Amino acid sequence: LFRYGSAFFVADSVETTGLKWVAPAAGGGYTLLTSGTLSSSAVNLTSISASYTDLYLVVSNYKPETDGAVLRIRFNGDTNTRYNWTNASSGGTFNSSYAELNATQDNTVAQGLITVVFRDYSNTSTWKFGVVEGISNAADTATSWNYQPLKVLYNQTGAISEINLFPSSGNFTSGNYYLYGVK
Amino acid sequence: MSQIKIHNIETGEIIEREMTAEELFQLEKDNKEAEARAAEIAKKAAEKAALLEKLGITEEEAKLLLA
Repeated sequence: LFRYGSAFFVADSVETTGLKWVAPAAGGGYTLLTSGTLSSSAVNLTSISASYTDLYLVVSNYKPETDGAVLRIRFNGDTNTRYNWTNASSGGTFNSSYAELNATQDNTVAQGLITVVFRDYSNTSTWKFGVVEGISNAADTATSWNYQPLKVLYNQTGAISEINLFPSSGNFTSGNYYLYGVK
Repeated sequence: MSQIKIHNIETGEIIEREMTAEELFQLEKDNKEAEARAAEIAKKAAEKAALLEKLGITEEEAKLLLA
């Protein structure tokens, strides 16, 4: 199989040359599964469809009640020590009962944006991870930035059907979430 | 009492309710962990600052040495 631009050159015994060009199958695209506002002490997104290849989570303008509170995540309501997170190629143990999605966030100005891609989230044979990129208002100086490229890690093989979001301290003051399914 | 928001994606139903005793216990546990982690980070930062002062160099100079 050879690729040229967006077309593929594939073997086909029916063709006299034994080869033919084919256009890629339709696919891709993002389907907004849900959206809402961050409130209370925690937000659980439940009954996530397993029909997509990946999940794409966007959290915008996350503002915690407590200055500097980090946004945390769990999956499937699992509060056991089965998580970790890293910003580099490394190794380690799953020694946390949650993973973190950003650096500290100011509690007066909230202009941050966090995006997370969960690859192959519904398979039932591998550990799961999410690729995070985020920018937030620094807690000590809100006009300064924190940029966080992170990987959140989870050592369970079950499909992710629920995402649990919560600040490391206090309630959510405001913010928005958007969850997309990616084909 | 702390509340929790549950958003069922399949049905679109959103429920905001008081946390159960189990959820509150977990919340308190999480908050204690957060405090412990913050204290550990602050302790390491203080130790780093003390070491830099002992060596008589700035953080930027330390980075240059290790580069």
